[in-house]
Amino acid sequence: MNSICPFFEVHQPYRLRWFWPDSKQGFDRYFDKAVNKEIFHKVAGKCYLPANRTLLELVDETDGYFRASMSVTGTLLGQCQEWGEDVLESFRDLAETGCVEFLDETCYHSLASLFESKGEFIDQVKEHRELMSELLGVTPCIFRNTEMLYNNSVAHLAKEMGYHAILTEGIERILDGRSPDHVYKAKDTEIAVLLRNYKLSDDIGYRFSSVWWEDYPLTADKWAEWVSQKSGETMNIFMDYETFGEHQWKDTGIFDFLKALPGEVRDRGMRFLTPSQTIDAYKPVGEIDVGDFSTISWADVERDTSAWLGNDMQRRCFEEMKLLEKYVKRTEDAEILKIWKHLLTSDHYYYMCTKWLGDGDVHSYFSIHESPYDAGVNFMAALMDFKSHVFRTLAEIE
Amino acid sequence: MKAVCICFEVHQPLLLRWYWPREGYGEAHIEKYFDMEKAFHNFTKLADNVEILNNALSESMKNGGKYTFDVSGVFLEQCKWAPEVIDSFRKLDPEKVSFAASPYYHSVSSMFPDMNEFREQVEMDIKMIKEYFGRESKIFVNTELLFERRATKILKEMGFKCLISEGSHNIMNGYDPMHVYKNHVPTLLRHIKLSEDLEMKFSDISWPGYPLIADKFASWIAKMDGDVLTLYIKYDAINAHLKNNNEILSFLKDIPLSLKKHGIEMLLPEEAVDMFKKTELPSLDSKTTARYGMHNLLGNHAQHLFMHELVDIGEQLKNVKDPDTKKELLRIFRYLQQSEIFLEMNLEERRLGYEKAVNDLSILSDIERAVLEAGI
Repeated sequence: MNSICPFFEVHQPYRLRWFWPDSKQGFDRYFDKAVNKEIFHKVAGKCYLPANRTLLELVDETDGYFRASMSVTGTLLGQCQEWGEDVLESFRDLAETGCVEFLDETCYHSLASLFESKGEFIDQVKEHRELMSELLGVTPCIFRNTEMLYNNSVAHLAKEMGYHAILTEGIERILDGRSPDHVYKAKDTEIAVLLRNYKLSDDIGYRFSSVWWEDYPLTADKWAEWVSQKSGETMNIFMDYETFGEHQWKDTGIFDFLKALPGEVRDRGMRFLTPSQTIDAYKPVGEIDVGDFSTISWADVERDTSAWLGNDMQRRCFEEMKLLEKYVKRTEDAEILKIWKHLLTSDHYYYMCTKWLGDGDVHSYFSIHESPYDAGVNFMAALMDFKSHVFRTLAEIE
Repeated sequence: MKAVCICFEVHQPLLLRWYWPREGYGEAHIEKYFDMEKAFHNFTKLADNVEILNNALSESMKNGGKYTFDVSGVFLEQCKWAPEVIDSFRKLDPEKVSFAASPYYHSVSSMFPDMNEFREQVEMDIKMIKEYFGRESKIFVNTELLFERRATKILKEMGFKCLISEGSHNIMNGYDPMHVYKNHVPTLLRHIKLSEDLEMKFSDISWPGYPLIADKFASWIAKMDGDVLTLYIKYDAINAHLKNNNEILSFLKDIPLSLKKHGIEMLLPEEAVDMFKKTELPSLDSKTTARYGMHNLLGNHAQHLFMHELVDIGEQLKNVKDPDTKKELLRIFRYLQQSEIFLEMNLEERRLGYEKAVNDLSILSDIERAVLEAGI
């Protein structure tokens, strides 16, 4: 292995209130300010602030040898603006090092890429691009879609919007026997594709502190050795940023692992590269072809869209959101538009997932609901109220 | 026991479909939201046997039987699929039969903050009974045997002589309801256990009471010490027994004779309230009730949300100007009030109830949209 390409998803949604039609108006009628603020502060304290500090230190101590990349969603950036200027500042510091590359995605970490018409998807990517420039002073040139949702159309659109590469899941059914540890390109378009090595990513993201795991405890030494034994060019390690301090608590030793990693990697003659450096360093070895009806993602064991659109509750809510787009836009009301876009955030649909097959605990993580059925009723109740607000507004203006 | 009243609920709900928003924001009409196929199927299953059942009741009447029918407007509208069903009820001996009024749409409208909807649906039902059966309703049975004081005052104003409601534990405190109870409108309370014996247990081979013959049932009643026993039974449940157990027909034919052996008379509720003195029952001044409890109708979060939006739609409807659109939307609004729609959101298997609720709220949302658009 020549290099490691780390990528972190940095995201928090605006969760819904336990909805009841009362006198609250606007955004706060649907979204729970108190709960979102509380979770933001909790995660900022346990993860974002200490993890950002660790990355900054690593860049400093290794003199820029350590590299990483991340995508900070617009919903989280909005929460930083509201409640955590210090968190925003530390992301800005990371951007200034030049060693941490920031990626674009849909501003709302949404399911807009699954709409048949792509206008909203493109709008949301542009919104994210503007926000990155405004808040972090960077202009991303690599794209990654919500939860690694990927198909040929998404790759085409990313290319059209000027991105050089797109990230997704290195699942067997698209690799067809090939290794994920190379640069690929998308079918029929000139955009590089970087594929997650889910085995070595999940060793850190999921299994790090699992005592049932035969390789427990995982050390940087052991993990770097596994990577070095692999024959590819790039080891793409993609995971939730909340792995550091939140999914894996501080006392599991996850920060020590991170701190020890650059030394172990350097000892084995490997480098850290950002996605941009990775695609500059290696030529595509093959093509990735994912039809629009076989969309992949990194979610659950199925690694398709079923985590968000697997049951009737989810599909019903999503269909309704899709149908509402035209009417929402006709109101030309900024607040209505904002609410609708935040209702498209993938997490709402994820909370309604009923698969519960080993992934259930992940689905309930950070959810305010006791069960996916509560989540379904609550989302539909909020959506129903919002929809009537949209039509009342249209009645007034038209 | 001196007398027995038997009342049949003749009703088939029109349930909501498994609906998909992708069908678009078009015009609202009944078939878009309600499962007509299922309703047709269920109606046909009942209609095919109405003649057999009513013949048995007719025989029973020759033996001294008297029966009250609580025919819902929802059911009557389904009779367009088989008009002879109406005739079959019409042919029964008018001396031995009475018709109870209830909210036309088998609705929970008595739980609305504004009672006008309830009042209108009761008036519709009275008119329907007059038109189709040529009879005046003296008896009122609320949907799901609901008992609420707000409604009883209105019923008194409307001139009802008798009200039938649920003899639930919170009202009866463990005693059997066996009298006419004093209220704004004299009240009979359903005997739950004996009604359920006929409704549900009759064909259950594992039940210790099986096989239930009229003599046995009459002897149970004879042992009870009171004025009048009230049985309220779903007509459709009697039909369901026919599939496995023809004995229900003999039971119906024999029951007046078996009761007579113990000196017990079958009465219409309007006769019973005239015949017996009214007993005080203080719980009627403070408690509410419904079949299997109020919480089944309006207990969980999804049901409260549905009710809240439904009431809101009722208000919005007042703004709709085009009379044809308004007529259809009002009809949909009223069908949405059927108690079964509420009950389905509160199944014992909570997951199923909530999954259904997401579907139902989605339908409600589309109707609200249509009402808002029509109000422009």
